[in-house]
Amino acid sequence: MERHVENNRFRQEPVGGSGFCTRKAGEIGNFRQDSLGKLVAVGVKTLVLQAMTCADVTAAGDAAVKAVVGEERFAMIQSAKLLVVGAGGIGCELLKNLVLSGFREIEVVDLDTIDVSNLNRQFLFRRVHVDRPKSVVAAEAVKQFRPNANIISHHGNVKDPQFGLEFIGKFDVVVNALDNLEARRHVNRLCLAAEKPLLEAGSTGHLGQVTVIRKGETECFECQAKPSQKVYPYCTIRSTPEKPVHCLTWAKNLFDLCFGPEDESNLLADLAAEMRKFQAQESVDGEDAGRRIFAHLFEEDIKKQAQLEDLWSDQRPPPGPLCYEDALKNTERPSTDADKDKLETQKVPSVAGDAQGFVAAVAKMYGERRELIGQSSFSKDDPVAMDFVHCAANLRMQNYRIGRLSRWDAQSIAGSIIPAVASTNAIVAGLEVVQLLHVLQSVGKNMKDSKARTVWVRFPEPSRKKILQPSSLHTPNPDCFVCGSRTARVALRSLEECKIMALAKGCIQGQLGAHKPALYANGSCIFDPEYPEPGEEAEEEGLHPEWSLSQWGLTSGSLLQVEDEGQGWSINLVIREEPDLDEQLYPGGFKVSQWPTQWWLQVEAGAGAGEEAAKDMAEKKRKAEADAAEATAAKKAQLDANTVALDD
Amino acid sequence: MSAITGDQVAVYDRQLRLWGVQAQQRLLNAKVLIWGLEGSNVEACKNLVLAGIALTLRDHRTVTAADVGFNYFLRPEDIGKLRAECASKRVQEMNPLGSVSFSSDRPTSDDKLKELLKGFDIVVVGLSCLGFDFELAAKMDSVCRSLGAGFLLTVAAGELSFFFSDLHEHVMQDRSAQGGPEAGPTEPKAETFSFPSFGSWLAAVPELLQGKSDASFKLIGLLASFLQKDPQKAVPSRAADFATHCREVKCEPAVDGLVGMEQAFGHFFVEPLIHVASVLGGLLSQEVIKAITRKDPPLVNSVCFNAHTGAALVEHIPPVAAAPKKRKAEEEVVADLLDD
Repeated sequence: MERHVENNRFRQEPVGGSGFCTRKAGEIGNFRQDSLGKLVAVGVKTLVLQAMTCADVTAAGDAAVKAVVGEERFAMIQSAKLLVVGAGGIGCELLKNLVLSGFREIEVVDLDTIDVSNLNRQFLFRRVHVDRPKSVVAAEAVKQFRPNANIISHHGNVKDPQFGLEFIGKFDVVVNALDNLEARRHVNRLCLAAEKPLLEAGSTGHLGQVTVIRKGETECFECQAKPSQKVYPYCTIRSTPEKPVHCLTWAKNLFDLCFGPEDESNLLADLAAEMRKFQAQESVDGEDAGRRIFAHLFEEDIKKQAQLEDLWSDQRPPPGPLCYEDALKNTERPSTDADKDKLETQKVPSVAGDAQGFVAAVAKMYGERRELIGQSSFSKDDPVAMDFVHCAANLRMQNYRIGRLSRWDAQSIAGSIIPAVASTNAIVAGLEVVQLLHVLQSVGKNMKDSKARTVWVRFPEPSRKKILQPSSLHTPNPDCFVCGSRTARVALRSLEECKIMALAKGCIQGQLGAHKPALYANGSCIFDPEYPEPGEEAEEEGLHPEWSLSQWGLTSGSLLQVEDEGQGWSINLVIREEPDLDEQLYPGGFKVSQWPTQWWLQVEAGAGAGEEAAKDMAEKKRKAEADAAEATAAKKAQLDANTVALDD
Repeated sequence: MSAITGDQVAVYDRQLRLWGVQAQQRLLNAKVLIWGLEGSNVEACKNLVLAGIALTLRDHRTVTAADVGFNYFLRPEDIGKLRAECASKRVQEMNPLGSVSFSSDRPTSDDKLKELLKGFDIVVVGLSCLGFDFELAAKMDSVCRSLGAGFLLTVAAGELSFFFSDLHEHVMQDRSAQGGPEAGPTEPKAETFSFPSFGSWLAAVPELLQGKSDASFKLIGLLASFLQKDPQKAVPSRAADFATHCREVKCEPAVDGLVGMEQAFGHFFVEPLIHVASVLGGLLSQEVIKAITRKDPPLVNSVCFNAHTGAALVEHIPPVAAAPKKRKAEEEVVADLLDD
């Protein structure tokens, strides 16, 4: 009781600003500065009496940090303005670490809302927070740890224009806690353009990595090619699937085709008439619609596919049609010894189960989801959409004699789920703060002289005794098309067939990571991101997104300039037509490669390696010369491009 | 073993996809004691309760402002109350599907110590909560051995953070699958790992101080040898004596980021930097999870993270005679290149 009385007495004290007013000079929290300027703990009793308010807690926490890092580094911590991008697995850990380390000026951006499956690691969130914005809830939670911290949350996509160069310019350092390549590339470019240091981190299961990016001194995020999302050839998806993933891709497209908005680019657009006809009807018997769609997809369409004789051989037998009634008779479940340890959802259903599940999912969409027809899109977290995709993919696998999957595995693949645990994220977020302190100390100095490193989280065994393994930061790649040469070569199968809008979407956005690219050729704009689709408006601007590259007068060896104003990034593309571009490897019809600034070194490296090599060399030399000619053209055109940019 | 519920599947989805159902079931049936709510142990509380492990938090100390400033399970209104009790409420909130209990008991006798360690699969102890009594820690480890419980001990010093682990004769049954659902199952392969006791760790300290171990391990060894038989010396005011001791035993390791032995000594008595605790707590939690699930090879037996270099080292203390190198694996060559 006595303690409570004291509590009140101390709360009545004015606690303006620092909250140091209740203490004797020289005492900070539970530490006292000794003659050497170091902090030593003072008695617990005094402490209980003194530290009664939030300000005292902050002071005590700050004092502990200061005792370890020293005055100078702590001052840097307190004044640094940070942008945290992402409030998920790494983001939650990071915000906690930053706030408790004494960082006070933090803004956080995240577009996501909280899902139940986040709760095993995103520890700032509770069940009651499900469906609320991550950034907002995370900021509220860590503010409780340090009420004096100034934390601003933004619920939005970091690619939105309000988070552009001007926004980034406000901060001293940007700290990434992202889970996808696209956003990472975007933030990388923003930081390069705004000349802000960037901390980059990632985790997958037990593994993780942290690194530091500073323009001109280190590799940027895109200096080394990153594996981009796999694109499958149209024919594999539409007619000749070989793996479960092909059938799942097909099923996801099917879901969007049946229940989403009209989309010409859907891979199964040729099935649109049949699949979407129920949408127009006043009332639909969902069961009946389900069985009709079933018959069309897994029986009739398969019969048609089987007749395309040149697709099939002994190695690749034609698919077998499946009628609904026969499917219902097939009630046998494949089982293995391992099944006893499995969850129900991890077991493969019977064909009958898939057939019934498919019809039930369609019925549900036309029943309780009636309102959402025409505006739905596949999400792995939507149970009806996932049931539909799992059953449809399995039925197609049955058609093509591919081993069917459990719902659990189908969800992993269809949703590209990355396994994740709290411990790895805690390690990665901790390492990010380690690097952040090094970056703050290296402001105005050479990064090479700092202790900043790339650190790898090894698992389960250490590598040369190190379970967390630092390695030196690499210098920038001069050929990098983002921070280096800003020139890339794009090989296209056909300039005649490739529409400029397809090039912008598939190649420049998809592959080169631009957000809203504008394209220029010979000094004039040939594609404007404000007018991405053909139509009257575009035409008034003199734009024709549907025109092919040849129609725009581009030939092999032509040069295109790409400007992405939002990213503060531009690139020159040297166009080359390659009719024999492999369709399996490059289903999009294009191939992007770096433009080696020092191409002659590559040629000389192979010198004196025998006759066969000499032949190869001659070919290389010929190519190099062609490249050189292109390079001259590129340089000339770049001058033109600069004029264009100035005009804008 | 009770079946995993639908609710659990929804929450634990992402980790079930990492370590599988059987491992999760083992975690749900495991009981872990966190003795000492300090440093990396706070982080371990978070990681382990989220993994679904039943926790008991034990600490006899009351909450101070500095605790609240570091331990995010505490609030200003907890000051003066019991640490374990206050923290347990908020650890529990973090995972309502888990179970969290608390205790403020102290080991007043050998029998009491045994009673306090009974019924746990793993015991994680903070040295500060034991009043820096290394001998007591060794005694706890030997009791844990007799009870068949794993024992981990954590020590923190500012930008350095350390743990020792003793899983006795640990049998690993399986390794994590590589490559996701499309890769298919792999044949489980059992392997046994022998851990030295903490008693033999302490006995090896003189050897450690003169040997080839990393400087960060030597610093922990120096603390142990300085406090030997007299844990009362574990107060910041004895920093100069510590420095003298280091000179006497002819071991003054240059730990990256630390200026001298006096400064190093002071760091043992403040909470570590939160991000240092975050890193070591993560590594420690992985070891607890490996021990319970019997999946993946454990780290034997001492781990130290240095925030100045960003490296976390693993050493076997006392050192084992190195087995003859069969071949320099490709991975090692890569590691060589990566190394500073």
